[in-house]
Amino acid sequence: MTIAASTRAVALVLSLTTAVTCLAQGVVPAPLQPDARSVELISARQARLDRIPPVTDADLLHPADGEWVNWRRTYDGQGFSPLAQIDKSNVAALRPAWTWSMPPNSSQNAPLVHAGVMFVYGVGDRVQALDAKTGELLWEHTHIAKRTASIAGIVKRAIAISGDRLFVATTDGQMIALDIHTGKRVWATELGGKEVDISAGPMVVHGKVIEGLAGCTRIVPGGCSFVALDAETGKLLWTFHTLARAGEPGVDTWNDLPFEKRNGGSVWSTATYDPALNLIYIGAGNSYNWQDLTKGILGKNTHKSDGLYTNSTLAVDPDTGKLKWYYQHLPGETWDLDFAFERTIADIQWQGKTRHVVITTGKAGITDVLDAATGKWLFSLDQGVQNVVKAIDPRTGRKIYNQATLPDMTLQRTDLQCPAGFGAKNYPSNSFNPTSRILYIPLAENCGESIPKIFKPGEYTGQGQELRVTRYLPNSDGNIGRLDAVDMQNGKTLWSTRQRASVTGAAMATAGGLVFVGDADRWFKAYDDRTGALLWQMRLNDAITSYPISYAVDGKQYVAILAGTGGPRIPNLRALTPEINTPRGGGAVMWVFELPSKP
Amino acid sequence: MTRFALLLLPLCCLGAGALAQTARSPATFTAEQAARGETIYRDQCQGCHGDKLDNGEFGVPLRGAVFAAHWHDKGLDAPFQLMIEQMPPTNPGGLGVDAYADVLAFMLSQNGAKPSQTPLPADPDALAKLAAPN
Repeated sequence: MTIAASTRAVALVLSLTTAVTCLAQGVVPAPLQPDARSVELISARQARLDRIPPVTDADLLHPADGEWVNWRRTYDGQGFSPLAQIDKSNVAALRPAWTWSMPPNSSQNAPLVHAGVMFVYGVGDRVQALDAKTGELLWEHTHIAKRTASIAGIVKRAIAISGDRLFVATTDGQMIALDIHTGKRVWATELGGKEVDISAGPMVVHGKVIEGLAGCTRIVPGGCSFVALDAETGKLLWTFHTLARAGEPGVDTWNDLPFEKRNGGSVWSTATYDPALNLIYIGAGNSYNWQDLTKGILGKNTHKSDGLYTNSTLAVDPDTGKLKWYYQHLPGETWDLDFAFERTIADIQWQGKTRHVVITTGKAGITDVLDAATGKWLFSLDQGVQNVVKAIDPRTGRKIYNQATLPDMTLQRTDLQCPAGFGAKNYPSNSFNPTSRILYIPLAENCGESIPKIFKPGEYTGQGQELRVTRYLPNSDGNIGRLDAVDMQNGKTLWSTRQRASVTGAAMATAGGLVFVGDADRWFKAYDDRTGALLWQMRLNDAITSYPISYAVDGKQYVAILAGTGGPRIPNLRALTPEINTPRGGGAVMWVFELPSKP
Repeated sequence: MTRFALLLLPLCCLGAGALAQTARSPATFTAEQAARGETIYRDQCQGCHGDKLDNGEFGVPLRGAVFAAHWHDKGLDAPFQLMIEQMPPTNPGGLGVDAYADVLAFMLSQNGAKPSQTPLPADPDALAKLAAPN
């Protein structure tokens, strides 16, 4: 349109508007129209989003080095970045590239990065896509939850991506699929009613969305489960119940407790996957039928009180949901010290041979290593922060319990259990460097003193004991937190960075020779992966209880971490270090770090 | 005497001494406050502290001997302050000051205290003059 013509057009519009408004009762301004500049910028943004290529099955199996498309980057759960641009020689110069305020209480969420776009979940079911280089918001989807949830249902550790879809578990126990280009919802599937909490988050394999359910603290008759949904439609394909059912081995291991009174087997972490074996590995947590199982253990009829499949690694065919093998780490366990976390798949040398293994560390800081194909126990490592297992059978790996720490139902004494029920290790994951074969384990040293609560048959408690008082480890030197570097070839702890504040974040090892981890005192740190020397640190806005990631955009490496608290881990550990303060109010920030650009 | 009873003995003695020095009055609350407090508790607190206040998976017991041992020598302003500053972890202080007094009233009722006509004040200075359960 020529200038003159447009002036006439504007005059016409103005005069029409004036005519209309003069007819009306008063003068009403016309709504603001976005200017041409914003229209152009927003449509350029959508064009950029439209260009995001789908995530193929091959991408999930072998992500490009700069991508982070699984919870722990790769299906094997190692949480290792092959990027080496940031290394020991230059990490001291690491600085913030951008930050983004997240919804309050976003404390555990691991972001994903694909094609230069960061996808992240915020508490309150706010899902966002951000430009991973600039921090610009590209789209946002807020799911309106039909109900609230307890803390276990509010936090979300993982989201998943496959094809054109982002898969997100919600506060109200649904799985939703969003279009990665627009954030629009494609489907939603309810996974359970009020009794279901989803903490772990999904993963996708063979077009199936696999999600574990928690919330079995409350009586969920028959316990918890994990499910597979069709990624295209959201239809439920199969359910695996984590408490053994009629006809399955192990249904008779509950000391005669009727099936409908059994509970537990919550799933707290996302599954890992081995493509060669075509197996997913997932952990089931403890039972809450403490009294019934303990009676059996104290009465020494141990196999009748194993409580299968609580405290087990379950190897399941993802296409059928059929169990291939299980290994129970802590039969009939009653301290809430479950093996509930990531099952890391790795190749290590053991007894002169290369073994393909599943590695998992439980809350007590004991690491079990199993053959990935058969579930055969190979060996265990003890980081020395526990007193509940006094010995491990060298043939079977069966753990012999310290009877003095089993809840004494006659109430004649308190027992000191190390660690306390919230564990020395928890959901913040280990990281494994597949080249050096070193496993990095974040830990907090603590104990709990309690006596058991007597309750009626079938009644339950979230923890088995009453009078829970947090205690320091006996002979503690005041250093509560540590990051242990364990050589998985010989089980030796190579170094251990001991510090006052609990190490509450997940670890991330990189090919640049670094290990990143955050703690309860707001420090995000980078260590030399071989010596444990501190090479870089920064004090962030809040404590860190989440998962670091690293990615690359346009040839430049970034490290990202969400800092914020809102789960129970920080309040639980606070008693031991009361001088450490973190902000109240749950303000959370996504931090992205970079090296200064070369001039 | 069993070792457990020996454990309790010094706590009782300390409690008696502290009360004598500060001369706090017994806490009072109304049945209506405790009923409102129960509703709030079930909505906001139960997920961590349990439906019976001592059987939660993520929070410390709010009922029974360990609760009494922790607070017996302090005024009620102390737990009130802690709750407002830290609880619930996802929204500290966000429930409104009267709601915290209601929840505290419910907790008192679950720790053996009986309701009366006098409400529990939602004011730290007034609460400081009231004794925690022992």
